[in-house]
Amino acid sequence: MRTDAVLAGVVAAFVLASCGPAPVQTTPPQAGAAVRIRTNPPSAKDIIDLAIASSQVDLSASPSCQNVGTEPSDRTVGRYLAGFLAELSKSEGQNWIETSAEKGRGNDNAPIWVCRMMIHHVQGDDRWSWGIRFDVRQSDGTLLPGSLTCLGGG
Amino acid sequence: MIAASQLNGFLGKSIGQICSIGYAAPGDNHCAHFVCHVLGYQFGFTCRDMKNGPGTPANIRVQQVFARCPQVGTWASRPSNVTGCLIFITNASNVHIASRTMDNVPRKHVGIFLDGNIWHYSNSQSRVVKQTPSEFSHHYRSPDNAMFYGTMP
Repeated sequence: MRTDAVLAGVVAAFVLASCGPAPVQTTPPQAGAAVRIRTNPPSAKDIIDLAIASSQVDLSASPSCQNVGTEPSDRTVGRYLAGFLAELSKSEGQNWIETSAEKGRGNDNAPIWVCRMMIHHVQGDDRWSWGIRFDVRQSDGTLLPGSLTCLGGG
Repeated sequence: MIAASQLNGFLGKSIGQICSIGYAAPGDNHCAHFVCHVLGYQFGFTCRDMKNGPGTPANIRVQQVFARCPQVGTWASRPSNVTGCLIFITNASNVHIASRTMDNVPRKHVGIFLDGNIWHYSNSQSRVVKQTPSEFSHHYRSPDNAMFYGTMP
């Protein structure tokens, strides 16, 4: 089974398991419903949840995502992030996931959260950080379509 | 072509002293970032895409720089008349010379080769250093230390 298919399954499991008392539900974008954060401002868990829910987004959605996959055949955000997460499977070095949410303004001047999730690795000169940024509308906690940017360098 | 004296002026400097944009996160890889500020490469994904700030931005991705080199090849195949170029180090399987592409793998690095020396950004030391090709070849452990040249975009 392909990894992105597995990731999609994980997302579906997250959704099925999220039927608690919270007023907002998170659903994957392919289900047609808006993806929403659960807390305002978004928590680290919210940001990672949205990143996972964006796994099926095609890397062609943003010029910043062109050729960011660790393999030329990588086509989705899920494959891109999975490629770098897989590098953390060794116990060497320091590995961490960094999230942040900063206040900003959308194209319509509406207040947004500018969210980031970065995967970090440091082991001597072997150091890198790759991840994504996306915008979340503050008024309803939904992810703004087309706001995805692939971040990282080196 | 940049001169060795100009490159020597960067020795010992941190990326924070080089990038006016202010993108200088210590945990990030600034090898392409340094090379592109020095050589003025503003194409593709730049430091301003990571952080908003004043001044001139520069590309920060090794694979985008490699793809812009007019001529690339293994380090051993570098023509003798190419005395100034870019030098890349990574696993050989990540480099596709015929298509002039490099995969976006974690362990890849770039520096500026000129007249027998290499100026590059040591992320572990957080400063610009100068090394010989032999010293540079130990930047990563085998098999991630295959070296390639690329003529300057």
